[in-house]
Amino acid sequence: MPSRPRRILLCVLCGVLFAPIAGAHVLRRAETPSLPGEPLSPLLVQTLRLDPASVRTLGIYSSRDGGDVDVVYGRRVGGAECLIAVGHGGTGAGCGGLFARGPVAILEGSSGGPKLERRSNLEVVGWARPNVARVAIVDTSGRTREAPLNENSAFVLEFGAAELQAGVGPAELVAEDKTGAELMRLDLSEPGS
Amino acid sequence: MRPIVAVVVRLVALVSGLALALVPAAAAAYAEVVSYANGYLAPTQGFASYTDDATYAGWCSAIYGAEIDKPAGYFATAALIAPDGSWRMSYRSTVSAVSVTVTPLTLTGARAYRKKAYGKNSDPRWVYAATTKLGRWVSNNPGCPIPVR
Repeated sequence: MPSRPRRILLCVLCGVLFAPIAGAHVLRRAETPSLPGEPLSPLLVQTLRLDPASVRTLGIYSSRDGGDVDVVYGRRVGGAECLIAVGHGGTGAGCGGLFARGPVAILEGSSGGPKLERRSNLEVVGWARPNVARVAIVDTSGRTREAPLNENSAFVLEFGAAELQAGVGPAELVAEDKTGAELMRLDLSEPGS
Repeated sequence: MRPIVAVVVRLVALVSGLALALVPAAAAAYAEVVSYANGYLAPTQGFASYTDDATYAGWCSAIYGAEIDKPAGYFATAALIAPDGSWRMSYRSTVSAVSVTVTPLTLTGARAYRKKAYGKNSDPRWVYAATTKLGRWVSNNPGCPIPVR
């Protein structure tokens, strides 16, 4: 084979060889776990269609099973705001008008179910507007639990497996301002309860 | 010299062929996972589901028991429901679009569950949309045990 066509053939073959490798590298990058300081992996950011620049951590909480629950804010490219919870081997996201139903946005996550008694954990994750001073959750036994707001006005209130097996779960959320005036009351009860 | 070059060229061609065959498959799998995980309830939808949901005969009972009877409060729910009807993970929220994914996000993991997303019934328009679609599905699937109202 003359040398010029051979060189061209080699160049083409090299291009064909390296382009897929570069493509596979892009895929591997997307699947890599989140880096320290980055709340969500690139794949999750892509899956949830978030603007990467908008993603920020609102709080990191230790759950009773020893793992962390990360509460994250992100905004979709189209503008919808998202409250995101990462933990227990999964990610949940609620996107839309976060405060359309009141000054506290709620995302409740569970492992197991659907019956309350068959769940291994349940967390009420929330993010409050600045005018909210206190958030409390009344459980199905009538007990009121305070949900301490962190510096970003986020909170996580956890129900453990023992409580859930006893049929105790969230029933209602109440939010108040600093004067104690009620700002929001939300039914959190399970269907059929 | 020339035979060596020929061997190298053939080797490169062989490796290139293998790489070309593998990468589109990975890309397709990736796209499928992302497509699966992107399902959520849009503001104009009363009910959202995937084609492969229909392969699980009891899915409608899971939905019905979970949320259709809910009196008030949450706006939407998403759950990963295993073929035996048990739930792996679920999220409810006060916003209109809820999604749930298990990590690591793999094609096998995505296929192991039937993801559901649906709205609550406090808004009549949503109830109508949900029950209409549920009813249509039930009428085409006599095995579905849920009476449609």
